[in-house]
Amino acid sequence: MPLSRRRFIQSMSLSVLPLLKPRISFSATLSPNSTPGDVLVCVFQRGGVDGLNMIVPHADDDYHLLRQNLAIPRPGEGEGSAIDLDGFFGLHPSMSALKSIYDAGDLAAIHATGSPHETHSHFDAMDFMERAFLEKGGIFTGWLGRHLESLMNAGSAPFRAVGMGKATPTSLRGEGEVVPVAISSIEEFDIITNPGEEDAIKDTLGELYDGKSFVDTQAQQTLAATALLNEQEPSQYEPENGAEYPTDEFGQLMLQVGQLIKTEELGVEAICVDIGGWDTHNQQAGILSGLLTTLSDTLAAFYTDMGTRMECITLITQSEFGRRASGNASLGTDHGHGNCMLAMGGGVNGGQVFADWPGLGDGQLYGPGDLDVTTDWRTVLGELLSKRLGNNNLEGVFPDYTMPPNFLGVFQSI
Amino acid sequence: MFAHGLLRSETVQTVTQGRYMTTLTRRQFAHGAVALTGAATLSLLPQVSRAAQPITTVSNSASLPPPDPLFLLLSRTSFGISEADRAHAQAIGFEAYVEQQLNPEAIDDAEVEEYVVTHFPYIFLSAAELAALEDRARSQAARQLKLATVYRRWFSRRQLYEVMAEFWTNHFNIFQDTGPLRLLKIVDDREVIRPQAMGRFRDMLHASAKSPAMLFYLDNFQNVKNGPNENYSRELMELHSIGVEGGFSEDDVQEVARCFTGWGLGRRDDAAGTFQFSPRRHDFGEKTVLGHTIPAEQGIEDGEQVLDILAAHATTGSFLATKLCRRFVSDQPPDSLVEEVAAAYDTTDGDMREMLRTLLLSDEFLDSSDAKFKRPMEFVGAVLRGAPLELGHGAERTLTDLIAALGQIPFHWAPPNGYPDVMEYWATTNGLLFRWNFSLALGEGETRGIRLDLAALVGDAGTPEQLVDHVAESLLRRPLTTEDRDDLIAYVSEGGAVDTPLSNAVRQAKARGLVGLMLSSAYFQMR
Repeated sequence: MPLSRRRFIQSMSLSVLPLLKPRISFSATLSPNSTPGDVLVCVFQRGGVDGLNMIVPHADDDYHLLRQNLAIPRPGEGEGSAIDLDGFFGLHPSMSALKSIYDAGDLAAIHATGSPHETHSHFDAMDFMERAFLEKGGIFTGWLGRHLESLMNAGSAPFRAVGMGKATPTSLRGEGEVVPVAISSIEEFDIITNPGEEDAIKDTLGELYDGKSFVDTQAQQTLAATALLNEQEPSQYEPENGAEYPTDEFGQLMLQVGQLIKTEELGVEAICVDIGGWDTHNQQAGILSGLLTTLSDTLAAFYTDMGTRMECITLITQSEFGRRASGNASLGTDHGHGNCMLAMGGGVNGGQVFADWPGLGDGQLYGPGDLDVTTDWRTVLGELLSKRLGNNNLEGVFPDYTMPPNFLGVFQSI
Repeated sequence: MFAHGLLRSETVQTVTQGRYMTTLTRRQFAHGAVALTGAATLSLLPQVSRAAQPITTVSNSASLPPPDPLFLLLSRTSFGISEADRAHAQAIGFEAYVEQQLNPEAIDDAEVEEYVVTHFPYIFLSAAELAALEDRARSQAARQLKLATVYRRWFSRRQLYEVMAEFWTNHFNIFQDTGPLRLLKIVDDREVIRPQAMGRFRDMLHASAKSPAMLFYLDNFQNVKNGPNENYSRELMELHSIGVEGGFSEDDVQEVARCFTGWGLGRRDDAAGTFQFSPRRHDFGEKTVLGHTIPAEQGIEDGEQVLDILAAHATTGSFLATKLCRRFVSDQPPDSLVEEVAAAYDTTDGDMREMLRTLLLSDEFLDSSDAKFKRPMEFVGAVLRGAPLELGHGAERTLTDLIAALGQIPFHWAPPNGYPDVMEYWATTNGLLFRWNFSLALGEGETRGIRLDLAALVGDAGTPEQLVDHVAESLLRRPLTTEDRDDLIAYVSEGGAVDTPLSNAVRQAKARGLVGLMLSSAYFQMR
């Protein structure tokens, strides 16, 4: 029983002070089963990852023709060649850490997917994707915010929606019922002042911020979230099963994602984490290799750390668009269109690459020479919410999109 | 390093209603209600109530009693209100203050510039001199640009100019902290951003296009005829000039990229990079950009012509006006004001001063109290400029750590769109928490190198009521709601009498707490 174990550790490791504080009873809303379904971890690769070199269509001759100096060699063609997945697609060689998860059936890729909107602007494309609404304005909320707010009996735990970092992403933005927590460091997430004045200071802050404005709401959430985190001590959870997270920013953020999820009393339902730097216009081989190593080593560490918890966790990756099928003269790639996503978890029909491959030949490319989108990314998100998170109000979450009659089959029903 | 005479704030002066009224005659007619309210509450007497005072700010703002118009003007055109600036503005009046700040060259700022020259000498070196530095000196040079920048922002008397320099720094964003940009950005800041910050937009656009730092940051230095690089071309249109709604197509992106082929750096791999046009790498064919034909056989003129087309494009004025209004007025600025400021761009050939004048003297500006949330640079600036502090050894480290924790290190935003300028990005749990902890630590005397003059804040206030009013007048300088004032008094009195003198020890302890609470409150986060 994790609760008693955690209590035990807490009483061992901390001064008596926290134990003397009245425990706030959140049991009615904080039960992990208050909403059915997985904890959702959404990784956003900011800048537009080169999906063609992340999940490589190595058996497509046009890929090698177009990419010339940038192509990842076919599997078995020496150093730096792709790691075959299914005879047609392969992993970038820096992503070897994910191969065993793929083979275990807990990792899938979806290719030639993305937003059908034609924009090649980072900022518009991210905005469309995070709101899951393909017009400027009209709808202010994000797809995760709408999802969380559309669940009945959803409760009001402060940590339902979490953005790892200084700010929260647009995707978590709701109408006000769900207020996402932005947290850059669990250790530092505490109000620190003169102990003799602490309670009075916190009470008075609550009184000063008792209005309904945006900043009032954020302040109230800050008070509630720091109090709960201070009580629950997520940092007591060390990585398990020998998991070793990379020491860079993304690795350390994902380590903390694991800690927040393990602290079941927090009631985390959706966590967003960013990894930036994918806008590889120039000399992309080295940059991409470094970033993909970080990404894949971190996801593998998270998978190891979570262990059997992965049965109730789904992690997905997204990026605002892919990159041009052919390279530019500076050994980089310009903004493109179609891209690929990853899905990882016990509920994923893994060991497969889902793709209605449009090809990269003459007449098959989109716009200025990009991979086409044959799978609207909302199809993937819709299947995820429907099958793993018990949300059947997909019209509400994706208001300008009608789901196809059949999903791809990326996820198993709970 | 930051110990400086400018930091000792002067005694708070009592504002007289008469002086205030005479400075605002033009405004009184249209804004009588606001002006009278401001004047009546300047003494910070607690009669103001929400019911008696309709608030007409945008929905995002906290519903606080509006401060007076000069407070609004100063909080938007500076990195924080200092008592000296406030007294000066009150003496000369709203419009005169605007005019003075619009002409920074006439404001004597020798004391600050002398400090910068003495303490941050590397930022005055040429590109070649910078490139000749040893590794350790290069790191110092890169850091000196950041320190000089925050120093000027927080302490310069040319506050509006520094606000505009920051505006353009974000508009033409360059991430400094990688490779040659560490030094190239020093030159960009000195020769592109600062000279044109109050000038004509077209000049800035041309200067930026030829800036080695920009050429490097957006890869234009590698843009060549066989396989053009579109990075600069797209962001030039989307972020620097006509905006994403400016009506450019993917073809335009490719054509503009072709126009800029051959623009590059003389020595591209080190900081000595200077702009150089290389005909060998240029595409001499004909191009079509936004419907304009760029004739064949031109060289560097292709790119220059594109910059002129973009500066004169129909949407450039409104794109820039929207951003300016978002900076100075509200996250969602009113269309009427954006149109007025855009018209100023169109009729004056992109004169920044005229755009700013139109904006700051508008009715919409006066109606926008508390519609903006301070960014970290303004939050810290407001503490440094407004509170009675003395900075000593360790302050520099404390402040740079703070700015890093709050997330606004100068020249450290990686994507090309610059630091966000909307409340939603900054007013997060994480953002508020770190502001609160700094404020609380400052009150408790726990901020290394920064000493609060508690005696000045407490003054001769004896009772809980007097203490709250005195600290509020010194730190916030704006009216509180009755309810909030009562909450603060209750914090001090702990349920005891509110009008009997406190013991010295309690008075001190509560004054420290009040500093933390007031600097943590919405009254201090909004601007």
